[in-house]
Amino acid sequence: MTALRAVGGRVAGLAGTLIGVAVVVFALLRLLPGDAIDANLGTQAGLLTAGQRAALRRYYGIDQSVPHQFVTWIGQVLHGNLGVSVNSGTDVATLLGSAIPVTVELAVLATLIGAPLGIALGVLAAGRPGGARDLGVQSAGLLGLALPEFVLASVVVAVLGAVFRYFPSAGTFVSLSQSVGGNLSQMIYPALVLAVGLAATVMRTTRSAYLDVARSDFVRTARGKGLFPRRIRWRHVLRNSSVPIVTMVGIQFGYLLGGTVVIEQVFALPGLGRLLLNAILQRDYAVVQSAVLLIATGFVVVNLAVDLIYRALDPRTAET
Amino acid sequence: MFRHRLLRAFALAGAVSAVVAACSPAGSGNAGKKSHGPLVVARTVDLDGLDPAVATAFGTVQTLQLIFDTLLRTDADGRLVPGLAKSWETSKDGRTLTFHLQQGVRFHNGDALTADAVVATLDRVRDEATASVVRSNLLAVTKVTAPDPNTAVIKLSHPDGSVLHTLTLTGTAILDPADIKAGRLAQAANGTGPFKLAGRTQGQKVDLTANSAYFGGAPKLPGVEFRVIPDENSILAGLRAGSFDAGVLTDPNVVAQAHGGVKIAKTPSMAYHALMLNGRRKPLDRLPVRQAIACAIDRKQVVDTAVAGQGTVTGPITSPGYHLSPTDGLPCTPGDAAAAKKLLGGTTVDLKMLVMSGGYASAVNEAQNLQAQLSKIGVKLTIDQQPTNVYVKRWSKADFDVALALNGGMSSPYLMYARYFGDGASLAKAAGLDSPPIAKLLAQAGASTEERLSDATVAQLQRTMLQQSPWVWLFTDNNVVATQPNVKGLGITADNSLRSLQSATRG
Repeated sequence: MTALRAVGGRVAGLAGTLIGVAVVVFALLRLLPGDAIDANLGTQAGLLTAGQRAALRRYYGIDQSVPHQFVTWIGQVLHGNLGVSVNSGTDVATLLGSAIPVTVELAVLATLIGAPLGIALGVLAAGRPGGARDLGVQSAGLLGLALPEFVLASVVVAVLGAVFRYFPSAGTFVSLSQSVGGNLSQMIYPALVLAVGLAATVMRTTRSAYLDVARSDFVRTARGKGLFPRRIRWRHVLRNSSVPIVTMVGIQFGYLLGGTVVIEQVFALPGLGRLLLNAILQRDYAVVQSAVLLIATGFVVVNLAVDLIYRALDPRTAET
Repeated sequence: MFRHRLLRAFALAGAVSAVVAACSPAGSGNAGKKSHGPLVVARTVDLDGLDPAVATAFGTVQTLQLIFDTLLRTDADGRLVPGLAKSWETSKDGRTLTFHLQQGVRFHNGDALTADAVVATLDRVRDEATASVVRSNLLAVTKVTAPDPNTAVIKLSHPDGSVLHTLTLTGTAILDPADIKAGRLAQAANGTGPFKLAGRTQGQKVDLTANSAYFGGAPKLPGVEFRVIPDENSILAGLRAGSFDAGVLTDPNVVAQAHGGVKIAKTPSMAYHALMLNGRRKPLDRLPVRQAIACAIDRKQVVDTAVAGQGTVTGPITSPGYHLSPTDGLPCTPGDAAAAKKLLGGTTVDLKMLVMSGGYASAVNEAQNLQAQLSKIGVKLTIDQQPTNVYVKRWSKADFDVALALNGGMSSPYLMYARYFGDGASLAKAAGLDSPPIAKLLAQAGASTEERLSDATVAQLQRTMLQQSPWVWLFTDNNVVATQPNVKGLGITADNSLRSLQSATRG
């Protein structure tokens, strides 16, 4: 019942958040200097007469007042119509529908690889703090955090091409439903690159949370009772350190859902990040607005899921 | 024990990824080794619209050039050659242009090409509501008629040889009148060109199939597939992996790495890099100051440092076929700091340089090199880096002291500069200077009925532009297409066209 109430409260909060996001993204886009005409024609926009510019403003739907545009857009969204991309002439829903699965799959794969790896390395490092193993894992973690994604991704692509004569995604994306093997062969390398940063972050969180809990009285008691070290490590220490770890994994997963622009660019994956980047550059308002709304929804939903996981992991949080 | 398990887990993960890599799908590799199927061309840009009249983006124009045809075309030297018009003539008074169309040409939907299509297309381009940037080049046109199905006539208010060159631009590609009437140009892609649009996946690929009934001869390739690969390093990696047959490269640093197993075809682009000086602001309103800046810059050094030597030093005229000294007209040798200092009269100058960020790869490198070179003569440049949209807005209003620009070139030198420096030019404000000597020469060139302006006329125009130094012309990039060794006959033109795909083959 408490959980249901909490979910209800969060869903109500979600609506408020989304309205806020809608207003902010709409206003920010209009505050950006330059419009769709300048973005698409570049310096050639200077060749347009006033009449031509007016015709284009009508075409791009920016001839109406900003409040009028906002009300029209919100009205359409509430009716399930996300609008049409003025640059491609395609339904925004169709564009998002093809981009979301790519980004979600990439985020899930990266998390499935990075989170367990980070947790395992964190536990490994925390086992003997200050020891050679800890130093090695921490150094590797620092390297993972310091190495920019685009560098690692470019190196992976270049090495695969030059040494193995293999390019993971040659521009035609193979979905999971088309071919599981084909899809994974395109997604595994970008997912691995993303997993490096994620694993490093999760490792550091796990290590510090683990060390905090390992110093607790109940752990000393467990040790005194003669429990197996492995049982203490996994059942008692790790479980009690799991709240910050789950939080960190949740946050990282949420970020990944927001689009992995660099990775999608380098590996030529048609995901949400690439769609959003191009739409921002071309001032394709309908696409940007809907994509940002969707990302915000994803982020809030992931946070809600993390909260619910807290309750399962640590029933005390349900009481507060 | 735990360590052993961890090791086992790593080994398992490694094995899984190796297996996954081994199951690479046929679609993602080895395009270059296949002798059937479309030729796969990778490029960073996509097709973003199907209406040629409003197409301006590089990838869109490059694709539509294969689907549509224009009345005329230009050859490698910028001379006019037949397109959909097999011949044409200009009346003695230069006010009537008559075009005789090729026989038996059909649009991809089967409709026959007639002169009515020429009338409908050009009337549409001239209509303000169409919002075509080409319209400004057709202001001399008063009427387009079709006296018979194979003849189109254009009436001009005054002689204007540049109209013929305008008819080579994709913006004037001939459309099916039925599509214009039905208002379906954004969806139709119904041209007369060597390839037909077979499908497109937004942001991923564009599929073209050969038009076997093409009037210029059926393409030898079964089709072309443009793939959108946003990162040029990835295009190069994909070429090395054999995933693409060809790749269009624009980043000079990537081009510099493209060797070993990859063939490179390059042509100097008509687009040029220039430092635009705002001659309506002090102290750039003074000719010696502008000339001092023009003299102080060693163009070769800019090419070597900013684009890894992958460019050609140029003067104002980049139209193909004119072979002119890039600096003849300047009062001193470029890079001669002492002479430049003398022109400056020992004063120091502080200027803000508007630079586009994110528009093209070399902008910041160029800006930094110019900053270093000009500091030697007492000109202090402060780099003002702005995103494309802000840059365009400020550029159009000439809201800059100096602006680093990459401007498009054209096969007609007149068309290229009349819009900046001609009388009533649409980009006069952005040009930053009203120069009567340049405007006078452009007016003479505009009134000429010559299809191709004479070398002497163009040389005089270039010398005067360099002498007046409204801008400092730096260099042109190379248009580059990299191919697998088995692809023959695929080149790229000065205006980035891949029309050679019509005759290209794959062994």
